Amino acid sequence: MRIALLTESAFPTARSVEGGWCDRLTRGLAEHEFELYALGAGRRDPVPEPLPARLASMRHSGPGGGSTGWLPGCLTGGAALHGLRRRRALAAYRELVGALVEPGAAEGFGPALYALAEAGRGGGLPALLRSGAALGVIEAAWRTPGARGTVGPGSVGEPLVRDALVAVDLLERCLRPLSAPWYGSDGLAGADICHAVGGGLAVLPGLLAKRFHGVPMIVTEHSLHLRERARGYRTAPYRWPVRALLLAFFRLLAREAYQQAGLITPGSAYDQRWQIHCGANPASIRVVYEGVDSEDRPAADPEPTVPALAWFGPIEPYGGLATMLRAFAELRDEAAGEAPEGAPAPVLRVHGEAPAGAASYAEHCRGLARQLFPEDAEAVVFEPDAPSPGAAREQSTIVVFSGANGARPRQLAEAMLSGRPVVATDVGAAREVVGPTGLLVPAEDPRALAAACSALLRDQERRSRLGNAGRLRAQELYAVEPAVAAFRSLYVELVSCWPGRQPATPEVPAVQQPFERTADYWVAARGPVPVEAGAG
Amino acid sequence: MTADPVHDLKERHLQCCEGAVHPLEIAAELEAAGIGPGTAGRYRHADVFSLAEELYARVPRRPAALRTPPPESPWRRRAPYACLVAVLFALPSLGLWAFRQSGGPGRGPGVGLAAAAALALVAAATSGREHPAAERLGYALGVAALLALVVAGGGLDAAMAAALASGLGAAEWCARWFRHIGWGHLDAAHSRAEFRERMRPVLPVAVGLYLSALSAITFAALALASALRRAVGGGVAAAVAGTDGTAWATQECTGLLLLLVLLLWRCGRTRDALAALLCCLSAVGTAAALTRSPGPGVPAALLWGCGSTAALLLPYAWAVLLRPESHRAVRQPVLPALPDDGS
Repeated sequence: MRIALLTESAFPTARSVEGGWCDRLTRGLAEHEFELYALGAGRRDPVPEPLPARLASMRHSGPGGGSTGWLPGCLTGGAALHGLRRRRALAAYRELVGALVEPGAAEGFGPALYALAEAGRGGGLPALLRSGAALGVIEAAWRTPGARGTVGPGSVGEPLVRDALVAVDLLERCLRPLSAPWYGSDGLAGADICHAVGGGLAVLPGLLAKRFHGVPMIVTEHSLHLRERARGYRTAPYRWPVRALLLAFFRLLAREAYQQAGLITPGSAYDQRWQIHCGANPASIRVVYEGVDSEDRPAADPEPTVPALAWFGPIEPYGGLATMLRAFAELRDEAAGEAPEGAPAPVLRVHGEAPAGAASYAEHCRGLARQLFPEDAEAVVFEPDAPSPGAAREQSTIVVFSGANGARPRQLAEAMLSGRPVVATDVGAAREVVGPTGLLVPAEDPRALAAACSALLRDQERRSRLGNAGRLRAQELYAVEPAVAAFRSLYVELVSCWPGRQPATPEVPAVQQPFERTADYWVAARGPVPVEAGAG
Repeated sequence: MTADPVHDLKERHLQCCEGAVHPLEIAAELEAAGIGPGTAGRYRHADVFSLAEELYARVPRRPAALRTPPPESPWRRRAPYACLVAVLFALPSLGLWAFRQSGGPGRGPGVGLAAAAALALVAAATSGREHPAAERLGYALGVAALLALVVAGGGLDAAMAAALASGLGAAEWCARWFRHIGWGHLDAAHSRAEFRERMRPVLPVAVGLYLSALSAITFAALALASALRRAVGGGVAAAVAGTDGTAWATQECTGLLLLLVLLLWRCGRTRDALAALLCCLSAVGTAAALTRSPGPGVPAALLWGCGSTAALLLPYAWAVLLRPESHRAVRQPVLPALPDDGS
């Protein structure tokens, strides 16, 4: 089958594709033909030669969509919309913005989106969406009574001209995939499956391909896009109305995608609650854990002589480092009281990076460490680089994830693969990933964390038992092979549920591969029997 | 458990709830704080989403609690840059003048072409990095061609030509001042109509400022040149007064056109700027062909060409630059980056 991988990321260089999810998928499923469509890439990003990871082709969303030469269109800016098509596009845009802003109009989002794509087929849509007419549409929508995201006049929630300008530009940026040059028969129309990886804007081409060419779509979200957006926008430099507009856009886009997708594969069962809440049909959800490709590495060497806790996570509020430090102080006090004379005191190795904007919190944590351990500067080591749990395993006795926001399943699986016991907070996907092979403690509870860690530190036999069990569990559940096998059957399941598209010219013998099409395809091609779209 | 278990939670996440635009935002925050489907039961809710909806309903929206002061205007500091532009543009014309004074060997077109190339380089260097290379090339060629007509083509007296070239520094200052004012009004106006109303007097003021500055520079250059020429003062005023009105009019018209082009360029209307340059050059060419006098015809052709183009361009630029979309930030707003998907 021809499978179109849609991703929001920039053009993946050969280095980032090799060994990444794309590589794992394409190498594992050698029987299919994969094409990568990168939304974030432009005309100038170089196409790596030869194509990495067995990809059949890679395309970007710039004008030309694949070639890298200089195009005459870049000076004149391509075609502009005129007349009837311009009016149609503007009407669709008005509908779209109305669906985002007016409460209770959310149903109109999908039709407006498709109408906009239809009207902008011939190009010129980006220019229209940045023009003064679009600005007027947003301004008028914000001025309708009861519009969402505007809070009474006089307050700072009232939209200013700058907000409209920023909102227009951001919406244009979000809707740019509508005018990507991909929808021809050599592009998405010829694909058998669209596989949108990562959710977010990556589903847009898939939605259009499904709408206009009947290509089924599968949506994979390793981490839930909508949740990340909602969190990321708390620190975004936009004012209230812009934030409301954009979050509404992503929410409705996710809803439309969940409703249209044939199959949805969240990265953990924990995440599927969000998808169901946003309108996904529970019957179409299959949990597929992201594979970790180091399952054949040997378990870590014997434990270090000085007992060490390795802490992983982002150094930010809710990251749990302060909790860990307090728990560690408690642990050291306890160990000093019990341990025989001369036994080395445990140390804490902090592996983590402070994201942008959390520098003050990182400083606070360093200050807290100095304050808690004034006499022993070596007790807490802030590792300068933050390797993955798999790489830092030699120096640790126990791996700890204490964040209240929950560690990512992939990180937990890597830690389990190292053969060290894992202590994690009981939030997010930790319970389903770690299962019975690690210790779970409540979030933000230093005492429970200290008790769990000291229980493990005292009991060598329990440590090795839990470590081994975790390693076996990770090798069985979170390796690459189960993930690839899951997608192999999911692709077939998706296509088998889909009535074949009406072949344009079935009598023309193109280069055909055996079993390229499913049985329904040929049935649909031969007889006039109408087949319900989406049946099954 | 108290009668209102959600109250504590509300107090703890008050700032988030006040600034949230949708319950899902609160749900994301709650999940980050470690409240999952299990813990939500403690607050008598089935899941985090209904808990978030209760919080969203109970806390009044108060976006005033939110941060984000309006972004700092990038056009605030303009004098140093304007001075730099003035010096850079004056250098080629001064060099050419000095070369001709010293009576160098090549009085032919080679020197003039070298000066034009230098002007094109300066124009390309000062055009701003954010535009595509093809447009920058067109802009640099157009500005350099127009200036070279004045500087090297014998359009004007050498002192006046140098004044016009360095007057681009004043134009730069005015364009940046215009952007700065527009930037401020974007954060103050509530609608496009109000923005237009606020911006209406700004362009005439900018044009007035620029023309006075250009006149002052020209006057100073003429005075300096005549002082140099006669070594002893006394004839300065006479020399200035002796320059005829056509030269002054040509100077002002060409300067005005350059200002308008620069304004359009700085406001992101690059195609308009390029079209204006093209129109002006062809109008000058047409006028030169019509007047048909090779030597002293250049000022007249410049006057007619630039004057007619500027007369047409001024109302257009005024109307176009009133629009808010001409006052976009140079850097496109970007969607917040999400944490990397871990490949």
